[in-house]
Amino acid sequence: MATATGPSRPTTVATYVWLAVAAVVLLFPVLLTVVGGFTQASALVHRPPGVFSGRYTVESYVHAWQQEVVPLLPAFVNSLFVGLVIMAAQVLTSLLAAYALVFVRTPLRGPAFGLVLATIMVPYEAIVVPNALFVRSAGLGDSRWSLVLPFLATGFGIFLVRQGMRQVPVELHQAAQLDGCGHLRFLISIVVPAVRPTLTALAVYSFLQGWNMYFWPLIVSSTNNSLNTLQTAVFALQSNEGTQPGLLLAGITITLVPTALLVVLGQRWLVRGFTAGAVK
Amino acid sequence: MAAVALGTAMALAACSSAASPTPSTTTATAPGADALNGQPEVDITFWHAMTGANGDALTKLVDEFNQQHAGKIKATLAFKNTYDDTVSAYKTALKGGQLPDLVQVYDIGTRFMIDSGSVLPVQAFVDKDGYATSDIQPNIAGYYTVDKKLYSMPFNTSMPLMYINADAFRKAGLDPARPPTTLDEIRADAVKIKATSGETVQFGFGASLYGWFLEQFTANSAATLCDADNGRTGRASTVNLATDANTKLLSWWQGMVRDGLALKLDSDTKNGDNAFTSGTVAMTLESTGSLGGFVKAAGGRFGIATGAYPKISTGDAGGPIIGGASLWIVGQGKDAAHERASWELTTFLAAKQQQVSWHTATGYFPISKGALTDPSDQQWVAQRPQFATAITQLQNTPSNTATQGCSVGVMPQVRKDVEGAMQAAVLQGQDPKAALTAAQTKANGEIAAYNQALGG
Repeated sequence: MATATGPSRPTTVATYVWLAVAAVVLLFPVLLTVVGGFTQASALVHRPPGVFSGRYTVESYVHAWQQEVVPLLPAFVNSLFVGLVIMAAQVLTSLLAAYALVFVRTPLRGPAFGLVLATIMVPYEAIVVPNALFVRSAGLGDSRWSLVLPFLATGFGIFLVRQGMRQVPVELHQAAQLDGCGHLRFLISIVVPAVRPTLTALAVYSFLQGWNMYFWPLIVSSTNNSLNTLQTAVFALQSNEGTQPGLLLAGITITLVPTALLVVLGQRWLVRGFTAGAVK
Repeated sequence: MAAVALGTAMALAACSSAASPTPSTTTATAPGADALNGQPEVDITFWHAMTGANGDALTKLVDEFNQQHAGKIKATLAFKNTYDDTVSAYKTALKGGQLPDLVQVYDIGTRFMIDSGSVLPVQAFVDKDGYATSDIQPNIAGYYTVDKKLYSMPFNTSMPLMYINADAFRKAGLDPARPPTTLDEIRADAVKIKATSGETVQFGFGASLYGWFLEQFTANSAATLCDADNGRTGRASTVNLATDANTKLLSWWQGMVRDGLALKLDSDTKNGDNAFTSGTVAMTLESTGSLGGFVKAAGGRFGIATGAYPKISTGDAGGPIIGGASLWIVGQGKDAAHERASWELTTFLAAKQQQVSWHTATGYFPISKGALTDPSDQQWVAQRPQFATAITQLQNTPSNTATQGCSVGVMPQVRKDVEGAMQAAVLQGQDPKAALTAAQTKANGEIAAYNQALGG
């Protein structure tokens, strides 16, 4: 460790050049979206698009925000609710279910895992209608909870966390048991830190799943617009005939903000989680 | 307290009637105006897919309706994203969910809505009330008339036009006031434009390979796309795609692209729109609904002129089909008061005054003949001489089964098949006749499967 020297200078330069090129390629669409929202309509339809023409206006953002068909603010709140509730619920249910499947010794473990796997194999589209009927018959038709109810637990999440937990040596569990450590304490103090990278990945994934939800809100809300999510609100910005790209880009930028924040703020956790996993 | 209890009882009654569908649609008798007498405020849900400025205009009209009917009817708009998503949501609700009271469905969903058996034909109310349909443009009503019954109330209506970059035309020594009318004339003009193309206009012609456009060419040549008189006098079972006229059209398109006279475009009309507004193509095909957006996007960089939708050959005696969407009154699981309330909203939206505001706010074609004679409407048209082309075009279009358009339950899929053939011929250079024949076989299979599922 102490004798390790840094890479040679030309290699460092080459790395930075490569990283810069990759960053431009990756960030350009995002930049185009954000700046495009500020660009005047006539400059935007130019070929090539005059995104850097210097003719900027906040008109598109103001219009997007004031759009009446599906007002943006309530839709924003709905999406945030859906994303956060689904994220919290899926992390919790996956953690507990996976723990039971890995560390609780019972003959039902195999069949139970088989059932969990079976739920992954049923396509989502096949159960949309039964789900909608169930939610409605439960009297939740126009309640916000109907947006999240079918998504509180997920077979994929359980599978993912179970795979992570299987990396925890069984001896560790046996040693903990010998020392009189109960399931809950073992879960919280030993298993959770060990599977944190998996949990973080699941959290980000489930938040995005909830945040991007489009078809389910459409099916479950029937009487008014109060359950519409941000994705539908952005859709309302798109004209059936004739396009206003600036308006659409402004709307997309608004939906990008929370996901970008999640990545920026969560990055520390993600990176720390991954390295913690690596030096386990 | 008593009022609250009564209200709850009413709501419960409404719920239970929604849970067990009444066979009101089979009898197809419409409730009269008395259905609303002695009722508390009737809440109706209206599913729509109007976005942007069009959505705002619809919101305004419905607010106005609610004000006029305060205490009697309250209509709530529910936005269902796109025409396709609206139909998806409706299909899901048909399986036991909650259906809306009024729903906006696109033109090509007409046959599906009739076959769903869940709607109350507008004709039933027309007969009951003696409602005068003479104010509705006959060509527009024609599209939604099947078996001599007006099934739905036309609402947002558009027509195809030819759009022209007037500056590019003048530069090539052409007169934008005399746009080409046939395929041969388009080619001749495109050759001249190519010879003078400046740094922006690079292609004389460029239109999206959108299935709707081929349907329009067919109607313009006075031919029917499907049998049983375009499905208007019976249930259609086959489409007629591999015709000489269609082969000629696709061969022409192929040649235009090959000779660098037309831009290669896919089936997404947004790409065609952008090609025109960016000045890349000097002539394009689009709906009247795009006029406002085009003028705004051109932003004074070039002038826009319009022409009638082109014909395949000189002497073709048809006319274009109207497109857009219409309003359907749902009968399944609805009581008389809700059905009547939906009809009240429908007639409100179809009335002359509302059609004037709708037309001038959105650029859709008004369904009311009277709307076009209204001073404020005429002022709007005077400011947009390009729109006058559409009015003339509609008036010159004979109303017959060819211009009513094909009505089959799987029309959305048929349109996709047509687009497949257009792309195969124009983009991949396949033999037009073979591509059309393949699409025809595929479409006929889909129609047969749909008809069989209906048991007919």
